[in-house]
Amino acid sequence: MSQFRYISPKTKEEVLKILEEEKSEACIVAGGSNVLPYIRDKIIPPKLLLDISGIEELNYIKKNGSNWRIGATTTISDLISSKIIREECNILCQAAEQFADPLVRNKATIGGNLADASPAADTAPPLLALDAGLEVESKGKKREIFLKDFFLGPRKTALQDDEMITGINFKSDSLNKPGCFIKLGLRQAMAISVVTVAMVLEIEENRVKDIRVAMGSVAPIPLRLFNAEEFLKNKHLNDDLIEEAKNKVYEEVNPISDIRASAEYRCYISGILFKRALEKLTNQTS
Amino acid sequence: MSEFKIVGKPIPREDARAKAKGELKYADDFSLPGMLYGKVLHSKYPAAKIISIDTTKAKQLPGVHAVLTARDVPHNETITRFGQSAEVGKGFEGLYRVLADKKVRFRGEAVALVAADTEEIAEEAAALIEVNYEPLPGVFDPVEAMKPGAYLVGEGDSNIICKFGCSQGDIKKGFAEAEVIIEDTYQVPFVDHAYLETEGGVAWIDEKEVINIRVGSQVIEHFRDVAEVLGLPHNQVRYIGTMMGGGFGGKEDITVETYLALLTWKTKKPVRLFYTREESILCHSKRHPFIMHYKVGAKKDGRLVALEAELISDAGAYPYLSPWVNLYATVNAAGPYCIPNVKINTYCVLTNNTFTSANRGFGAPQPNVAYESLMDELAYKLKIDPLEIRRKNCITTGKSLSTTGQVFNTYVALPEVAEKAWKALGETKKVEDKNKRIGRGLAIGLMSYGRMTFLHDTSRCYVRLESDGSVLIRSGIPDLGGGQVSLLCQIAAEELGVPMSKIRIYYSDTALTPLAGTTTATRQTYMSGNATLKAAREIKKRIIQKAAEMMNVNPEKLVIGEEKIIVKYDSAQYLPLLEVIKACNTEGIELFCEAQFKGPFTMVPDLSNIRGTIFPDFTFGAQAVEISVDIETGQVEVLKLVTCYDVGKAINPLSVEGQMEGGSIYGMGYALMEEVVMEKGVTLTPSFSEYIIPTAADVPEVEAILVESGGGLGPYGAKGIGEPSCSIIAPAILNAIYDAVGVRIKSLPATPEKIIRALKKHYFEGR
Amino acid sequence: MMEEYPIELTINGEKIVSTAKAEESLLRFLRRHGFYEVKGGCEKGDCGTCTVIMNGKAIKSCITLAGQANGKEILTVRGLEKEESGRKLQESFVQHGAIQCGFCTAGMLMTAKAYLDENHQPNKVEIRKAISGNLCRCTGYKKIVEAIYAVAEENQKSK
Ligand SMILES: Cc1cc2nc3c(=O)[nH]c(=O)nc-3n(C[C@H](O)[C@H](O)[C@H](O)COP(=O)(O)OP(=O)(O)OC[C@H]3O[C@@H](n4cnc5c(N)ncnc54)[C@H](O)[C@@H]3O)c2cc1C
Ligand code: FES
Ligand code: FES
Repeated sequence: MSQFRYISPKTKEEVLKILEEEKSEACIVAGGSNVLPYIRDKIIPPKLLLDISGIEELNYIKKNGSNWRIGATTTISDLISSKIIREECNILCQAAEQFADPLVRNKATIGGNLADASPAADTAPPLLALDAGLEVESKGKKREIFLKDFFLGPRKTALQDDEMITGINFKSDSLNKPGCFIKLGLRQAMAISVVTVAMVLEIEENRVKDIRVAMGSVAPIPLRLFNAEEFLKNKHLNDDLIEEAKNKVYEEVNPISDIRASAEYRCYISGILFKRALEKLTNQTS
Repeated sequence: MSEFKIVGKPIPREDARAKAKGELKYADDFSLPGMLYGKVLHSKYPAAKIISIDTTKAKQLPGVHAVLTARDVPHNETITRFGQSAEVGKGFEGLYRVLADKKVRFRGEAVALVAADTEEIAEEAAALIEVNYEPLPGVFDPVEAMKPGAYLVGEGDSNIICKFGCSQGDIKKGFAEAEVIIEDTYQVPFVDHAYLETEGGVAWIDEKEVINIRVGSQVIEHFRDVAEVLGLPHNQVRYIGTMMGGGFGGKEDITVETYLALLTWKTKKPVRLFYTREESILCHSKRHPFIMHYKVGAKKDGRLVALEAELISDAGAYPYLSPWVNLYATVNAAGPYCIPNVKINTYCVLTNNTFTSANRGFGAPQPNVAYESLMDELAYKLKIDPLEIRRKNCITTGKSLSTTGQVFNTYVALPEVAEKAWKALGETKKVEDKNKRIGRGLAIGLMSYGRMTFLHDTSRCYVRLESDGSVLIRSGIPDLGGGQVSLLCQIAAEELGVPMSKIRIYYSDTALTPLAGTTTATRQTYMSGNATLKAAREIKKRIIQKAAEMMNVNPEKLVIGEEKIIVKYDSAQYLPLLEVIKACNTEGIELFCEAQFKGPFTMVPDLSNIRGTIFPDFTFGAQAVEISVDIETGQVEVLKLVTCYDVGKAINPLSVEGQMEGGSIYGMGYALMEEVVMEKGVTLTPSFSEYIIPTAADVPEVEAILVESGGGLGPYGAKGIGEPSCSIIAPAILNAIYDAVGVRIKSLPATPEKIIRALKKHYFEGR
Repeated sequence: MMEEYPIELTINGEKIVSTAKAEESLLRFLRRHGFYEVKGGCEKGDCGTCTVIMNGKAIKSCITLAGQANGKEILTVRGLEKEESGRKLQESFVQHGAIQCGFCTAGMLMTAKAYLDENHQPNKVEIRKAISGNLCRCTGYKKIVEAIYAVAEENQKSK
């Protein structure tokens, strides 16, 4: 019987070297909040557990001019306690505050949340709405993947076996506009999302100048709703228009039924949360 | 002014400090040298024939000490009991099968057992056991299973395992007199106990060849059942019960004890076996789902004249305590109301679902959902206030239960508790959110405490006053977290006039402590409380007698307290307790006593028409809630919850409030979020991320109002509260949802989706 | 890269030098070393009974690899007594009747301790949120919240 092995490198370079050698035999462990339950459920077979939680160089929140960078092992708690995130990137702070529970947030990382590629990953919709990109590295190679191109299916991503996420970046321009994150779960903590929505909205002279919407748990991957966005651009927001836009949302989402909710309910709720996000943000701008 | 020194005071429990310090050793916090690890192989099909089992590979794995199948179990088939010693006849007996034989009845049924050097090896060995199954169709819906020609779950010729009935008056005449009739069907799901400590323990054989099983169990009397499985004399099996990390009825049946006993018996080594959370949810008992068809008739002024109900419950794959649970349901089916014409029929049916058995409230919470929803509907239909309609119909002192006719001669607090709970909701909360609607709901109920009287229940306790004035208690009482053990200490401390710190108690050991009966049926305060009281009072009598001689006063003039024997109304005249003890010891006066308390005994009732006294007594209560419903998402938030019970006497108000608060939230989970989802016998919610219970962020402000009528049968007039506390919150919440948004949810849990589907019929039609 | 690897950590002030298995959770490691006060209720991060404090932060030890505690300081409920803030919380739980079966207590106390060390003036709603990763099936949480609140209030006064 093959066995698990463990290693906890101290630098990113070491991690990349091991990934190059071990490829799919390695399993990165950041916070472990997905990996350990997977090991118990035997979803992850014996592998090399490559612990990156101790790599300090990957834990940062930086803002340089209009460029934001967040390191892969930054925890959800780190996001909540960061002053600049709270003040200047509140949409991410809102998602972080509704994430899991205070204990899990102390361990769960933003990189792990994205790499796990659950349709319900709560940091994905706000980052999609922020047009975020992922900094992905392998030994001697760096590339950037737009988050919208990163998710390929439930627990499937564009990462190669020898690659890891080192950071997430986005630009400030979308942050000058108000943003919000709404989560509907079946309880107030430790709830896997039934539906989530993240939205940034810019209104100019009563018209939608810019809008970016993403949703969680409504499709096999966290979803950016480009059609609904296009539909609303340059239009006057009013109740009728919102109703019409909801229909665009219904067309775009493609949820499944599971024990938490039926596909029909998820679809219906995606319209409601979409409307609520719009209302909330227009109230904030007006 | 209270005459009590310790009873009635909100004092810390005897076990609290050890728990706060992390020093209490639960079942799993214990190991022995050379201990093996046990593992159960569970069936992967809900219904299948076992063609063959090949254990060769598993046995060959290094580190494996035993692999057992049905063939290795000396008496694989016995009868389910829950500690009773009275003969109650076949109507209540069910098959208890240790390991599946020839046929599996549910997914998760134990098929084989393994013991190995490590948990990993045991797991690997279990995976190496080759079971050749031939899947069978099975039956998963109790209504289908009742039909003639249905797939047969067991070996009998029908899936119906029990039928109960009871009636009074003339049901036809009753409905003929009715001016309004409401008829409806309600459904409640499988739910899990969700105690945080899963089932498990450690077993070993001692030098006397006795199998010792250290386990968290509500019924240590199962030592007899385990002995019978092994074909050993009863005194060769010993249970050492630990403090439990919650029980709620789930540790009332045998859990892993027979497996432990078999493995340790075969290997002659200590064995540990603990269920994972998944095993606990998949393989152990659940609360009975019910389908309840009700018809209620009333006069225009709201007076009830007739109630007819048919209850069908799902026993799952084996009977376990199903007959008893269904008896409770039958007795509770007409609720706490005076109804001249009543007819109840209850059926309990085997299916290939996970088996169901005891769960806090036993069979009471299920019919409560139905009749209290119907009362509410009646109130709306007749435009009568929810409190008023209940006051008008509820049982009062001197009246009788409408199902069995059992008469209530002591104080019936229903009108009082209903009013107190409803009023305590206070001013309606204002909400800003335009999508939220506020609603209120009320439910009242009664629930028995103490075992059915035809079970001839008894409890024993031993109390000894030491020569230094400290006290030792021995009681077989199991403590599932409700403070059962501490309660006995408090009673002894009160009676013997010593502080709590001077009491030591040994509990839950079938070899060394007098058997106190089960921690089930909300019976321990009543039964073991009385046994302790009796023993302590006997010693007190002897002490006072001696002191009276020494002081040359009439014994009636003496009281005991603060480690003194004092002349009543003259506290300057006293003898220190120690002096009296010395005198007693010198003269050989016994300062110890083992006492037995007996509940009232009756005959086994006619099960087709259950009448007369079935239970010793009842606890009466009311619960009221204020909630908000989001009309766009269907989400419910409970804003305020009031729970009001006549507890007779709160021996420890902290513990009583704890039961009432905890019970309310237990019931709130049932109402709003909990369901073990089973699809064709396969559990789709095998973890705490799918089987969700309320977190601290979900709970409202709970207000517990204690009424102390002193009318109970327990010590100092106490009643039981553990189970009643959770039994009516679900209908109160359903009624509040109706009040808020005008939709009646008829199947639990009332999820946001169900509420939205009811509210937005248009949207969902055709989708 | 080993199936078993050396590990050195401080638990309740005591240095432990041992080895851990690659996939071993911190919970299992602690229990294997006799720290039975750390309970496992689900081993998947869903209940909070296994909560310990690692370098000042409350975490669920079942979803933490033992190796992730290498070189760190772990505090369990049996280490609480050494600190006044810990003792106060324990006593408050006892006095308020916040403990029934007690299976959640060890974890609940650790969450409360780490929380109060950071937040000195919480209200009851905030306390509810703070302990929302720790399930309790017995108490309905009311007395737990009251017990924590009482300590927070007392801390406030003594300042
Ligand atoms: C009780 C509980 C509640 C939860 N609630 C929520 C919730 O509300 N919302 C939510 O979104 N999630 C929730 N989760 C899921 C989980 O906590 C998150 O997905 C978390 O962000 C994962 O991060 P981690 O660091 O723990 O990842 P890990 O478990 O360490 O890793 C997750 C996956 O990502 C891979 N990985 C990690 N880091 C990298 C990297 N830098 N590069 C490449 N691959 C990497 C790992 O190999 C693994 O496949 C919950 C989990 C639990 C146990
Ligand atoms: S055991 Fe760790 S959260 Fe349940
Ligand atoms: S006291 Fe039992 S789980 Fe909290």
